[in-house]
Amino acid sequence: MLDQISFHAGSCRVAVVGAGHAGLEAALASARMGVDTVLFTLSLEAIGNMPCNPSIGGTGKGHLVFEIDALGGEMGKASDATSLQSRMLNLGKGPAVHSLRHQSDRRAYHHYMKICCENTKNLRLVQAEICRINPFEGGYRVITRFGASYDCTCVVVCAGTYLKSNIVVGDVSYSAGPDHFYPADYLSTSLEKMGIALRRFKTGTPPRIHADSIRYEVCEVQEGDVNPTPFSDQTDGERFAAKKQKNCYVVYTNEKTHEIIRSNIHRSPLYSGKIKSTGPRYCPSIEDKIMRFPDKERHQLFLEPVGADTKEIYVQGLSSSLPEDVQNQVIHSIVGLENAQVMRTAYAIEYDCIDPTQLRPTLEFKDHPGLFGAGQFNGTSGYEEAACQGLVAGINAALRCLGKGEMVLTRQTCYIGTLIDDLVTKGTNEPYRMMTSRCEYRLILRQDNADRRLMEIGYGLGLVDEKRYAEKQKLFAQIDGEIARAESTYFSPSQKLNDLLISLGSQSVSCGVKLADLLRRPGISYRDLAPIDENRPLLPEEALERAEIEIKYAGYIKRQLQQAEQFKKMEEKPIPADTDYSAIRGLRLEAVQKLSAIRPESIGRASRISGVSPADISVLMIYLNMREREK
Amino acid sequence: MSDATIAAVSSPRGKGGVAVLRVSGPEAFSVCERIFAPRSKRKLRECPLRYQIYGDILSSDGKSVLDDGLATCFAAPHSFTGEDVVELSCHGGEVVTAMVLESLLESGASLAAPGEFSRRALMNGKLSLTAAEGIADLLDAKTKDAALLSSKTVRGKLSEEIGRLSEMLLAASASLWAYLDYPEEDLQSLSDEELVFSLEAIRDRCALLVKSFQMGRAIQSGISSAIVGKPNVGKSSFFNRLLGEERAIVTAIPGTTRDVLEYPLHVGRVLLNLSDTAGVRRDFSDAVEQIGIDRALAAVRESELVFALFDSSRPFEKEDELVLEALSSLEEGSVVIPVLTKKDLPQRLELDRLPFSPEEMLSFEKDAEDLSELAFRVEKVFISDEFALREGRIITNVRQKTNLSKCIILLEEAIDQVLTGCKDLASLSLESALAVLLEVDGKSAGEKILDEVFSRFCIGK
Repeated sequence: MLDQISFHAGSCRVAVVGAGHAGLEAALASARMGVDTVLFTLSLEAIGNMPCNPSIGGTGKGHLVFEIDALGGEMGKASDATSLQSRMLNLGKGPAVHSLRHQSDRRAYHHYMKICCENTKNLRLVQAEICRINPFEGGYRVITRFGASYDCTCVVVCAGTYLKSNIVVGDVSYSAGPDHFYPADYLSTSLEKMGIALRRFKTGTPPRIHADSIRYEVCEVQEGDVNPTPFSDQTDGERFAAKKQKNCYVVYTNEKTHEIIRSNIHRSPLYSGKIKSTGPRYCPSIEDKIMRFPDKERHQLFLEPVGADTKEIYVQGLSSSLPEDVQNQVIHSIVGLENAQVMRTAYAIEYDCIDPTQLRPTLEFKDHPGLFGAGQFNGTSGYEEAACQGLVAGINAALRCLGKGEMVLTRQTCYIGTLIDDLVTKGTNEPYRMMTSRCEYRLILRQDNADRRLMEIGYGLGLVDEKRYAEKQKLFAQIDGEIARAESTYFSPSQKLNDLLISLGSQSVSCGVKLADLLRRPGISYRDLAPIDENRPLLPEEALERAEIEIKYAGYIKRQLQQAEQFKKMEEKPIPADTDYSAIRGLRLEAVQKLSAIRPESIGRASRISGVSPADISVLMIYLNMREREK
Repeated sequence: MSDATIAAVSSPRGKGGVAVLRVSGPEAFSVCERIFAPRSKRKLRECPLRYQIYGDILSSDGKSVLDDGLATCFAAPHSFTGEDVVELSCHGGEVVTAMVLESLLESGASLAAPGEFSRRALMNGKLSLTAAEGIADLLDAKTKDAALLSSKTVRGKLSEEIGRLSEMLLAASASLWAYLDYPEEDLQSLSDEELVFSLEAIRDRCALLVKSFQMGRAIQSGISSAIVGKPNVGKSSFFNRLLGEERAIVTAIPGTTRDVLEYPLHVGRVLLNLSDTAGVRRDFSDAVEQIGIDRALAAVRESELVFALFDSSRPFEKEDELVLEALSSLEEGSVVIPVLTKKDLPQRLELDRLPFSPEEMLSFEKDAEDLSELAFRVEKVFISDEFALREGRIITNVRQKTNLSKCIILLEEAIDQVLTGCKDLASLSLESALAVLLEVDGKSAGEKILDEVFSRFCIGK
């Protein structure tokens, strides 16, 4: 089939392969930057699909969505437009870990994204399976299953979990993509021919059941927030908050459930050895949970709506590849789901992906300029992780076409930078998921200040328009003004002040005290001080909240900013791409091997590679200094 | 690797006449200004470059003089490292040197990593190509030396204790991380009370280790000690008996011992750096002796252990009063062991004039065979935790002490942050605490916490 004669079907500057969450952001960014873009998808019905959980955001992931939005991506807006429930997680644990999550209407999300693509200038949406990518005249030629060939400058591969994908349920396994869409069986071979190393990961999804077959009266209810929050400042906050929210529910496994799984474990492809590929530790199947944590008496399951008008319910936490009859027994053993009618059976899926250390921080293949990878194809997991990579790859592909300098996001500026840096310097042994704990600069990389960190970049790229940018500048000025006021407003010790402080459980004062210092006291909020802070200007709620965080955490923020500054210096010491590590005297063999394989772009990146010691870094720095001086 | 200002002892470890401490980095001058007061009263910064400036080396709070010495300033790029550099020379005792280093660290310098001065020199183009090519071997050799050194000492057991503490800290951190990253799951993570309890336990064990620093020094590098007493009380006899050989001149003429001699010697298992001091008296026969007496008094003031000698055969005199005065000027934490000499002669000293109980007083006769009572007393003070010693849970160098002290501070911060609901801050403090704790043993945290999260908690959302 791959040898068949192809015909010239057209050309473009950027070809994006796959219209999942990565591909969408890549194609939209590229087209919006004025670059002629074609977005290929196996099926127009699969655009922006959510084959697993029907939600966007969550811990760490919420940060990614805010950052995507600040850079001018689409995910935040799409999620706002199609959200069923909004919850701000981790409230009361500190602003750095606040994380927004929306339950999404998956059908509506798909539809939103399809229409969005159709209405985007410079973007062509084409249903076709890309089977081959061939280097061609300094760029690439992509060829479809029907032999249509497109010539382009850059290709962004966002193949998701479709490459040679295999669905496994018990003894049954067959070639199929997520949601039983058609798999992409040919592209892997073409990539391997180019010298790209592939490997196999595994993931899974839980069953869907019919809402009317659930005994809600025995389930715990999980409602949305009273004040629902949108991801994007472009969404009308009031209208968003006015939308009626859907509930989620919580049920639990029990000893009976666990017994069913234990006595059938020999029929699990995970335990029989049928599945050999690596799955994610943070998203284990139910059989894995039972076997690995035998002491745990029950496991929580979340019942989440899949859409506003559908009765399909997603059973979060019950991911499995057990045979269907065992799955049914498991579901029916759960209190509340005794009569549940299963609509979709849970399955595991295995797929080809790449080792991301083959990529540069632009997500371009080191050995194939103009060829980019993004999303699950790069070894990650999750819609948000995929979308942010798609955005970075799409932007860089477009920049390359436009002959402009590349965009590299760093660890100290955003979660996206942290994610990409982890991928391309450390690699990953399991599908990579974002978490707040992965991010050492999390105190300065908060959801609330994503705009301040990144919108300048989005604006510079033309992905953020003038009006939005100007509005943000105004907001930033209000925040700064309020911080300055708090740092220069003093209260003299009065009965009123001390009464207030004592009523707040705080110590009274005997001499003048600064507003900012009062705010830094534990348990005292901006709102609390309103009675004594008479000259407080009228500001938007958001400006006040953000000023409060900056003031309360000022000391810690300053400390992290200093660390980030130090870090930046290391990051800015570049290592030339043509560095021959084997010729550097004094480098240990392991370091030579690791550095040659990963070819880090800066000293900072080199220092994070496991197996490269501080002594190796010294040697490398000396070598680079010598080299520079010889010039 | 960074442009922090670093400091370290640059002269070889062990006793020498003079020790050199090097401070390098953008803050080198300001750090040293804090702890070095030129006798000329000029500011260090205003003194000529590359000249040796004489002055006092102060503790970081500026309250006490640790030593007198020389400072030499080098401005970037004309220095060994190519940065601003100050070299401080002080007297070569290990204790003095360690105290000066501590003072520098407390004034804003951070401890230089092995080879870091050389690395900076290389980075700033101050070393030649040949030197550069050798650096890897050099750094490797340093590590090997360190390894060798550690195998000789009791690091193995210390490692175990650090290992246990880091496991405890790892578990606590993992619990907090899981709680933050998986807020909706019933993870059975630690409650705030449990978390605080566990952090306090780790903190207290770290504090025990910091305390063991003194014990470590008592065994490894020596406790600074001095003998004080009026002329002819028998200081030199006492000194010689401790030393076991005739090093000082023993005569009956007051004021013979003019200079301060210092010798390492063992009393029981404790290593003492013992200064023999001149007699304390008011009338000075000549200037040379005056200097000797000043030094003697200084040696006494800076000692951690002082043997105060009183002549049992003579009545209490004003010179004994001076001795008591000198004792009262000792630093807090210093230990005094009172000793009665010449017990073979009839007793004429009024014991009630001394601020010591009879049980505290040790007896010493010139030809005493048995020093076990003395050894017992010294060991009791400096080997305070016999169990820890047997277990080898003691630290012996400033770097370990610095790290453990940092760890304690970070744990205190974390406890405070947990209690005030700032869990995001607490998670960062714990991350740093774990990093400094693991560093005591030369390990790095890497992805340890994350691995712990996944092995400890069943996470599925």
